[in-house]
Amino acid sequence: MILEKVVIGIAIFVSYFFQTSVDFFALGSIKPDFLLILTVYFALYRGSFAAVWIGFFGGLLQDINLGGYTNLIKQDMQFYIGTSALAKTIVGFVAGKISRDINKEATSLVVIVVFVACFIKGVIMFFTVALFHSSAHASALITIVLPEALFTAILSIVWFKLLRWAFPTVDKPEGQRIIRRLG
Amino acid sequence: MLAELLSRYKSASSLTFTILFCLSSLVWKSNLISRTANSASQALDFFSGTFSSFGKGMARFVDSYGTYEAVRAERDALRDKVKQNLDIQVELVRLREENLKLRQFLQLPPVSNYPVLQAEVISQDPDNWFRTIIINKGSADGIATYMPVVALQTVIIPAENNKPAETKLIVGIVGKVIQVNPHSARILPLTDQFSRIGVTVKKTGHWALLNGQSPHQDAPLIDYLSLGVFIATGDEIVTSGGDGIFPRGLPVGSVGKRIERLGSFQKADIQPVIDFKKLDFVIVIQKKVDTESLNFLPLKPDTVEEPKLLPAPPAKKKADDDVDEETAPQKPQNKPPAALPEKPAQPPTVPPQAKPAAAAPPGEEGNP
Repeated sequence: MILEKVVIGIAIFVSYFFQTSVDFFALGSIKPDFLLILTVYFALYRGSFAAVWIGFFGGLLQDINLGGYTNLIKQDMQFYIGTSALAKTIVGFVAGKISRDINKEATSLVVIVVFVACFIKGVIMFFTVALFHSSAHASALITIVLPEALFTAILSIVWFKLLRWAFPTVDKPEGQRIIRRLG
Repeated sequence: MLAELLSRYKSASSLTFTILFCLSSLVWKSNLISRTANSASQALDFFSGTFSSFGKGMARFVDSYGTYEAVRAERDALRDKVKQNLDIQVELVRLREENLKLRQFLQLPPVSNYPVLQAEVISQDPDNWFRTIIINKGSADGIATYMPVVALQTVIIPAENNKPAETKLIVGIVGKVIQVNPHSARILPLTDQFSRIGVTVKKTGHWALLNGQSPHQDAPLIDYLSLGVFIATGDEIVTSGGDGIFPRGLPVGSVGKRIERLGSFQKADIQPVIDFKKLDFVIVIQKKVDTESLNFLPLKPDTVEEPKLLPAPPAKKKADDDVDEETAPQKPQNKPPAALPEKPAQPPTVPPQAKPAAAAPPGEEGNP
């Protein structure tokens, strides 16, 4: 149980580092959202509860990485904490709620789910930034959100297989997972 | 009660908590939690940097793997280029040595008043019986038979009496051209047993004949030197000019250790100036042989027009008649002596004062 949480934590950090550090997976200026893929994966196989927390911590790491800026009027540092965390948390919760109705073996369906989830996350972030930080231009939905959603959805085909290899008992109930590990 | 509710609706409660946290952070952008959370960014940056380095290394590895074929092709091309460069380097060394020798030739003082032509030794006679040398210039370059050949060599004088060792450039007789092809020529060196050169002892001015010896002896022999001439080891021998082939005063060699007396003459070994084992370039002096004045045979009697000479003076005519009676008794009396004999005369047995080398016919000397 604890080991599984540690492994999930490692997966969050690895996804975070992939997303923030390595340009190897970048297609031009577009980088896929590995943390969202991880969130959707656990939402589909484990439900809302796990997805909410994975999305929250993953988003929090991203927000910490964003840092902050100095408000000239208030003369203090203002941080982006909560921007990604809010979006990923909501997306993880929603994806977990609809996971019962989705055939997880159908790759195309999974790709569509990831695409929609990523797009919703982008829209939520767009409004969050517009409301709490600065005015965001609507064209960002086309130039940033849509390409990112497409790229992330395509990459999720491979990434889901990797996660399936890393977490082979993710779709089993907790009792069965323990028995399978011991066996 | 609250714990039971949270446990029952853990997803919804988790969502509520996280949303409230996020909204509070978004509204109060510089609250304590945000500042605390952001302080962790330094640690994250450290790990991000490490991970980034690792990732970039992996990316470079993948890129290099992708360009492996190109690198291999480039390696093969470079290997070929290195091989070519090595060949060029060998060629450069050869050219440098050749250039050095040619520069030495440029510093050569004029060996005579005649034009000279530099040639490279391309071969030496492989036969044990003859020692002829083949050069890479021929009739197309203006070389003709019986042209004298000299060479330039560097001699290192060892240090003595607090004087440092020095390098000296010397000129010496090599031999004469005996056969000419369009692009090559054959030289009869003075060491060959069939070679005859008119020489003189430099310090006394007495004439003698320089004969080559057998192929197994490198030192030629000075012969027909009057017994009254006192020579010693180291005396310089130069060309006398009396043979009509070599210009006067060219260095030939020095008297060696062996000096013999035979009858009214004396013989001595001569140490040639030129080291024939290190001979690679020679200088051909383009001096045509004056066959008329020396009473030489024309080289090609069928093609060369007979010279029309005036009758010789009575004394010389008598001498010529003596020679002709021995070699060509059927010769008409009114023909000039130069055109008639079919066979060359024997080497002279006259005293040195009668210029023995000059009387030696080229047919005897040049066709071993």
